[in-house]
Amino acid sequence: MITEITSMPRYFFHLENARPFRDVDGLELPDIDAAHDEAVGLARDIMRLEPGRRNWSKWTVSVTDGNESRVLQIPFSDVN
Amino acid sequence: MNISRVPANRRNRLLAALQPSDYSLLAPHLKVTRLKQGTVLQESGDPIRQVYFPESGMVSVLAVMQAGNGIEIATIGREGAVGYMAALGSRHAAGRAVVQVDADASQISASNFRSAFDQSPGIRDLILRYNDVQMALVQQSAGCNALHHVEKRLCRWLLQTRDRCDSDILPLTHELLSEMLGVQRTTVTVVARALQTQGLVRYRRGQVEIIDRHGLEKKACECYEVVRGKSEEVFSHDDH
Repeated sequence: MITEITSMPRYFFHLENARPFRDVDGLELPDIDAAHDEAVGLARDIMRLEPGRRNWSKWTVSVTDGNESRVLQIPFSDVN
Repeated sequence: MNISRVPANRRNRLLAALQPSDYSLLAPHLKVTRLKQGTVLQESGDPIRQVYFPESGMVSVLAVMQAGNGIEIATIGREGAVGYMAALGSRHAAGRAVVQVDADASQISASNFRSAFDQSPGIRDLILRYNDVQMALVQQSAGCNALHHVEKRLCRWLLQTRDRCDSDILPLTHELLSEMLGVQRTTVTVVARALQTQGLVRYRRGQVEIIDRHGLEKKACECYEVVRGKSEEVFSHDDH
């Protein structure tokens, strides 16, 4: 029996706001659910790092796949 | 882990600070061992079986939460020891000890270490002084982890690791850094990029290179200097 070894997909996490961040490294993750968790965690980290800022309404994490198509878009205001 | 019977040398500063008569209580039981990056020396809650005195490299101690995520609360290099609490009566490890940077170490069983500690006022004195400093450093870490910005903490961590490795090129993955700092891997990417844009570091997959050490020192939280100064207190009492 041949075991197929498939590599995990790579996802890229970009920040869209006044100071955009474009991820060129990406992260290998098992699936889109894991990418969703990572994106939510990123938004949480950033909000935690700037507790003084109240208004995150313009901030979004956008996730693209290896083909540069957007697979997720998570506004910070949806994350608690 | 490769264990050989080669007699341990005294590049570890705790071992080096001992009087020859005290050291001779430990020496017959010490084995030289090579610790590889990623090896877990001690799992949180497990019995402490071995005590390690690193001669190079770096070991991190992590506080581990029930969900499995953790955060670093102490780093141990050639100025310290992993598992020394066994001599003070601790049966179980409070945190997880992981090798961060390949290290040579002298290793001794917890029971042999405990009996040398019980016999020798010199060993006891040194280890109690080391323990005092460790407690102070863990408190500093707790404050740092809760209050200092992750960018400053990353700067401190890189400087600390640089001092231990004696090299500007550090074998650190984002995964490892995210575990140490208690943040997402992607957050490390964002923060590391910010440091790179400021010309302080250059990072590639699995490697961070320090470009501007002085700049990093200015950016790091106060904990870098505090920890450095405090760690020296263990040895400042010694005349030899």
